[in-house]
Amino acid sequence: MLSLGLDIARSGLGVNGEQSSVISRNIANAGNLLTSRKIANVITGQGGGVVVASITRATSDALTRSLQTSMSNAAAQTVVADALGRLEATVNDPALDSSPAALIGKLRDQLQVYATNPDSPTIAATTVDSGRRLAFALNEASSSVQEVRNQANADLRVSVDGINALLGKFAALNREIIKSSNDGADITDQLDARDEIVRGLSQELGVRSISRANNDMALFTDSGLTLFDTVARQVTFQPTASIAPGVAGQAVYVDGVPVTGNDAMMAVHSGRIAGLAIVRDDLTVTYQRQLDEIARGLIEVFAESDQSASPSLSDVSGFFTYSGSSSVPVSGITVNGLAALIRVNANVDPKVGGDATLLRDGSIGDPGNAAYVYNTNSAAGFSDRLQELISNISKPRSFDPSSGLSASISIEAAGSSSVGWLEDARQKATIDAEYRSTLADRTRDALSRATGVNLDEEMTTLLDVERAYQTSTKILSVIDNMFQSLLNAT
Amino acid sequence: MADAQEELASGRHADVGKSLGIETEKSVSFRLQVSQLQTIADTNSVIEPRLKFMQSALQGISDSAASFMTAIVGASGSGQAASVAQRAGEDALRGFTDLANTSYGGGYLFAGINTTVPPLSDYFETPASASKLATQAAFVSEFGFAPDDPAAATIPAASMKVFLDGAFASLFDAANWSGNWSNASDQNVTSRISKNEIIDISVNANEAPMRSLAMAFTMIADLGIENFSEQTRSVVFDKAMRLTAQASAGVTGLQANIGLAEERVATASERISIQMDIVEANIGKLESIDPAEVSVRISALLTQIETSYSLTARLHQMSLVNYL
Repeated sequence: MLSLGLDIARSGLGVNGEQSSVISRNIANAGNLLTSRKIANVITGQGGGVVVASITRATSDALTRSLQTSMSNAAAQTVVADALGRLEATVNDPALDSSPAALIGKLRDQLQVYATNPDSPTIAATTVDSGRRLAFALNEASSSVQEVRNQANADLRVSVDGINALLGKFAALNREIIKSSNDGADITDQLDARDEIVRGLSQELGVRSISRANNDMALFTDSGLTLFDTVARQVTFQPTASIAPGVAGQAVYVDGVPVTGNDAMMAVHSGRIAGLAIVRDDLTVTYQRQLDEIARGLIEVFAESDQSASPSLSDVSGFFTYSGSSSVPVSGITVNGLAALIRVNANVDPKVGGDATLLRDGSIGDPGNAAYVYNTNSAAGFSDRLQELISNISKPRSFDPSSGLSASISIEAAGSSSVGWLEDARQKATIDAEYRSTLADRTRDALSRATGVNLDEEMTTLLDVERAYQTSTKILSVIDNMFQSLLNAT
Repeated sequence: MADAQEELASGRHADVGKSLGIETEKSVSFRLQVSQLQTIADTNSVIEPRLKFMQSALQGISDSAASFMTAIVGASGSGQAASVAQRAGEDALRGFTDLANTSYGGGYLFAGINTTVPPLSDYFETPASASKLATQAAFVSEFGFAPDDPAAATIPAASMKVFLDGAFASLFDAANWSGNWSNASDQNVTSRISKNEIIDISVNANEAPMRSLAMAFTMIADLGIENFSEQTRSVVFDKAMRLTAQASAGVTGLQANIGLAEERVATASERISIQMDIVEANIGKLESIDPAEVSVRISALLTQIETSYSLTARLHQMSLVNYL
């Protein structure tokens, strides 16, 4: 019997050793918030001794899953909010008067000053200058929008590459886990690593994971497409080098099915990819349309009509023109990329040899054609055309409803309404992004509390193990004494 | 924290767009309104002195008509006073031309929209002006000799009356006036004095009272009245007096027009300043912050930061390891 007691005490010592090694692993990982706590499961073995049957880890499926979801959502909203923040640079603080809307107002006011002093060539030149600044602001805004859009396109590429790399790692790890599970080896570290990869994936796109026998795991997008099931599926994207306004970007495909774009049946709802797709295919497209519509509206406001007694000629573009064209775009229909092309007509621009007083007299679009001359007597005090232009600026006209602008508002109202649209989207996205990031942080904390390592707890367990060790050695020495007594007695 | 401090310093939201969202549209359009109202207020303040100047020029014309009247009333009786009257006519015509050519800020006030050209040329200039040549030609074609011809004394009063009401008067109708006398445009200068109100802010040298005055002055100054018979001369004096009286009333009418414009500009400016106050108050309401609220927020943030610092320090000391 004594030797049996000795064996049991010895097995206790062995278990103590394993347990303390698990504890030191845990303590070593204490700083790693999302590393799970490892637990040595001790059972009574043959002959009454104890053995460490397995090492498992603390898990919480519910929390793990909600962390994935909240990280996906936060990533999507953050991308959208960041992009809107960059678009906001095109309007800036209303007090700075740097938005296209404010510059339209400036031009209108300058026209009022010119109308009061129609005989001043200096004021005429200043007025043309206001127009030039407005055209330039629209050009700049348009190029910022395109920059944001192309950046989103490039980021999609990076994101897709990242997903494929992560899926590759996931496949290798998953294979190893299944194999080791069959062997009964300690796989807790691999499981942690695999969870980490899934979290990385959820940042890029919304992922649902399903655990199966032998710790196998399958991955699906939040729209239900298979990402990984025994083998990794391909995520593909053929980026256009540079997307022009009005041209749709290429979709991202998972396993051959499109997951972005307006006609994608199984579009992903969260993750960076979803956010980038919103920025590229929705926000920047709409905002570009608004800028294009404002540019088109301006060309329309300043267009010149046939002044003959019986007009027969069609309107020509006046103060504002685009790509040297003299035709006026059709009302109420977006001309893609017009905001990038709008210019002050060279015929009226003194900086390039034009005559600023044509703004007062007319025939900017077709100099020399008497039909478009408003100031028929070449009177220096003629202000009717200027007054007409000022009234035109506040007259309602048609805008393309697909731009998100009201179908019938004045050009200045279109400008401020575009600012309102942008700031509204930005406010909502920013608040949403803040909320979702906070939620993700909280969930991460909760998960860490539920499954992470707590130093104090480990220290207490260590005390237990120490006591058990002391007791085991005590038993050894007692049995030793008993043996001694037995030996001495004989 | 940095945002809160900026808000406290500026009194506005640190990020107006983010704080207001869709309301930013209102903020932008309010600002557009303010800048338009401000501009109109500025241009109105340019118009006001211009209108005053025009008023005083019209007063000058009216005064010279009055003194011309006095001169010919005094002269109508005596024969030798005819040359005195003739000189008074010449002076009046010169003075009238000067006043009609009044310029302000580089533009001619009575030129209509043709502001860069003086409306009337000098009647007495050399070489002879178109207006003088036309007058001479009309006289010659009516009577067969020039005004300074001795035969002028033989013109009967009735013929002179026919001439004055006929050929001579037609020299001053709208078409001949624009042909021989005036470079002014019939179209008056207009200005937008409030958002939707465009008014005439000038009268031009082509108005009927202006033409009548020129006619009265010319018949005394340049028809050679000193050569006429007593009776014929009195027909001319009579006609000139009636014309001047009528025209003076007309000029007063023009002054009233300008006065009306002045009145409308003043009212519009007053309205604009009220509108601006309202719109600016609205901008303030939208964009400004409550300084008390912000300072409370700052101190709350400070407390929070301090608490979390001391918490970190405490937590750092707290570990079972220290007690084992």
